[in-house]
Amino acid sequence: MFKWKTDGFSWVDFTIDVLRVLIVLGVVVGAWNTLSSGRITFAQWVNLFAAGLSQGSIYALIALGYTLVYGILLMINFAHGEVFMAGAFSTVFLAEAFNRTGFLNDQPLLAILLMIMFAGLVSMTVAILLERVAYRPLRGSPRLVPLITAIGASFFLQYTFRGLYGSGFKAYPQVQILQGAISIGGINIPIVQIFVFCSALILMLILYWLVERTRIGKAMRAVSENKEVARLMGIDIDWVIMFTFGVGGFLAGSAGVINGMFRPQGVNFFMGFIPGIKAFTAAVLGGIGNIPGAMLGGLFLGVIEAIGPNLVLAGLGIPGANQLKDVIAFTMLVLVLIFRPQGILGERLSEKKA
Amino acid sequence: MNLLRSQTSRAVLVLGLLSGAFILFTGAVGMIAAFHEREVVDRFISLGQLLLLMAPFVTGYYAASRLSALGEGGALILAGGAAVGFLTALPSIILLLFNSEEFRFLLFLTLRLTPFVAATAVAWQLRRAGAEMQAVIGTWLLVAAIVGIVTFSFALIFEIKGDLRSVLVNIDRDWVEVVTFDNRKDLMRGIGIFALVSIVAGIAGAMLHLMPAVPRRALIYGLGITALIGAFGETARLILQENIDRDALKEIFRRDTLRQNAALTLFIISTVAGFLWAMFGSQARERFRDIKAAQRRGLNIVGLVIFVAFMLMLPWLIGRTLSDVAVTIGIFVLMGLGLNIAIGLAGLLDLGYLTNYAVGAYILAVLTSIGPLGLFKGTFTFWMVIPLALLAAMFAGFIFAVPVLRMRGDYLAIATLGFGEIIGKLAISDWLKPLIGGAQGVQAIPKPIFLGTELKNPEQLYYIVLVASLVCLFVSIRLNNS
Repeated sequence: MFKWKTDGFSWVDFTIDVLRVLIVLGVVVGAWNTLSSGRITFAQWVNLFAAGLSQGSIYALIALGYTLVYGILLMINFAHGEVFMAGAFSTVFLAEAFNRTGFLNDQPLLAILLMIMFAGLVSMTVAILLERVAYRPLRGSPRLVPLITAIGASFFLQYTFRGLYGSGFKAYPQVQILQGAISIGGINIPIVQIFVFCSALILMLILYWLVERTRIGKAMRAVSENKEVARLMGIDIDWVIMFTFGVGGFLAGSAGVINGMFRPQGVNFFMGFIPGIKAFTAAVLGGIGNIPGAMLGGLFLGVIEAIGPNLVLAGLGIPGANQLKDVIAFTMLVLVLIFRPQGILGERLSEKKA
Repeated sequence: MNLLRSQTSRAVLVLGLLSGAFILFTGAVGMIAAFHEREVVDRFISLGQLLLLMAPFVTGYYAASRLSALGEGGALILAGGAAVGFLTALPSIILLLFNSEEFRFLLFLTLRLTPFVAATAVAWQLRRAGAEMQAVIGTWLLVAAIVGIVTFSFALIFEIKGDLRSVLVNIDRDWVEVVTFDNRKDLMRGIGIFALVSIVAGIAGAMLHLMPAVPRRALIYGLGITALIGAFGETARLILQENIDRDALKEIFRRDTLRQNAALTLFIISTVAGFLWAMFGSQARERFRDIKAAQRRGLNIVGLVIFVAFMLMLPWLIGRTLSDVAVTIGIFVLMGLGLNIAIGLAGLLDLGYLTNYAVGAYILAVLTSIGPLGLFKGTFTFWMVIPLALLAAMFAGFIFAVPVLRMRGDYLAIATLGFGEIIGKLAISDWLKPLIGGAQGVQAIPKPIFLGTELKNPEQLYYIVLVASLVCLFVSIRLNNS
């Protein structure tokens, strides 16, 4: 009844081309309208950019967990957003305790470091348990099976933490030295954004060092290249996979604390879902399986998300543009998957290896 | 002592601590306290207490089968059951002791000792596997540091907050009340009862394993059926109240709970039935297997007729509340059938399936609504719009399918998930509010009218769902065989 492919003409290609033209047109028109109206000053653009960058560095940290696991198991660890939530949610109590004793403001750097360690380790534990209980028994089954399990695990973790800590929002206490802003060339940038960006950068550098310069990193790369050969070379595959989940979990947990410092609205059991999907988008943007790609993808997504609604949607005359911030992120996800599944930097791993 | 290092003690330790972790977990997420609100047998046992007993019972049974596989004798198996029962209660007891001033330190001691125990256990394994001393010490330090940061932080949090409940919201009075079997005031007595009950349940589980096969199966049937009916007492009562008179119902149930006599009768009947089934069940099955093919076909048709008649009579049998549940079930059946075509038959994991559901629902709502958002203010009826809504949902399926047709596997799953999220966000956004009402949605949708009667009860809606499910079932079976 439906003949999709006739000679030299394909409906699918046609639709995709039409879609492409429409999107480019929409973006250009929206941007032109906004820019020519001059509603937003240069300083405001810079502020949006900086906020996007720090939000993006949090996405990047979470995205690294997706990318690491995908690189090794070719599997989307859909529950990674919940791993992020586990660390962030547990550490609120530690932060409150530190705050009550005054430790948080006497020794802010040490306190934050301890909090990051704690959150990272809690998330790491959750990630390793997740791998052990939910994914290891399914290794070698069809690729959709672990994905569905991951979705189930994600709900399980959400409602477990709701049961443990309750369903309300809990806010991180404020740290004195992170308040205020510094002025660079007449533009005020909040210190907390600089803190977020720098600490994320440090963590990413540590990860890069770990993967590129250490023995275990070498083993990780070997396993992601070819599991069977790595096993023959005497690498303990199970241990490497566990380690990978642990590292990804640690990064996600530390991202949770950094996120808590950055966003005043607090944390709750459902906080992991949206950042999880966005971080996945970031990982896909950079080419999933590619570590620098995930970092760049995260930053890129954060910036687009901050600037996009104001630049394009507001220009197209859509009311409440910032409400549709998430829609921009998910549209990016779908568009990247349609037009450039290999991402900005990466080669297409899924086809190379599957 | 040799026993301590043997496989036997390890099996007992691992099983006991696992079920202890389970009981602690169910308590901490609030399941036990929530289950306690439903009584299984009137003034005898609640679902929460049943959960508390089931864990050591089942683990005791399982431990006994492990131990007998290891070749242990009867007395040691019973001791193993007791040990498993005690270990099941232990983690919860440590948490309970936080409520007593003089034993509060035990929780902190446990939290502070855990890293060293864990590190030693891991290092011990390594040493036994023949690792170098240097690596063993390094591992010990690493594990102790990692676990230590977590447990010491938790100890710090509890110490500063001075109250478990401000962190673990469900470790509250209700939980203490259930776990101590209503002895919250006299904590030590409660803990004693809890430990004793757990140990007895563990031994009972082990004893069940030691029984001969036939009475064991009969007992499992009896206990299982009684517990099941007791746990779903509300449902059972709703079904019975349609079919027997009020006084008889009062004999069986006190509100939604089985009375003790009724539970005992039920237990005896189901145990006897289970006994008969365990004795003669295999013979009956064999006799059925020997029936000739032609006769079996006849039997199948009879079965089908009974099934269809049952489905048609269901709303009368189960009453209004459960009919409502049945309607929900039917809707899920419909969606499941549709999703089965995409995932099961075509192998496309479509996580944005709800977009089609939403499109269908919104189209129907906007076209038939008599509220402010209705386009035609009731000109069209439910039946006129249904084909249109179906077509629109189908069309939406096409629209979303075309761009993603190139993808396969997990990319497709994620892309469709993205679509789902986009549609969800758009549906409640301010942008589309003038059209579809934002978060409030579209209201004042008239109910369908069939042969002059308005179908508004769940009993009546049930038939729509039933017919729709059957049609979909037919279509998808035909599609599968095409």
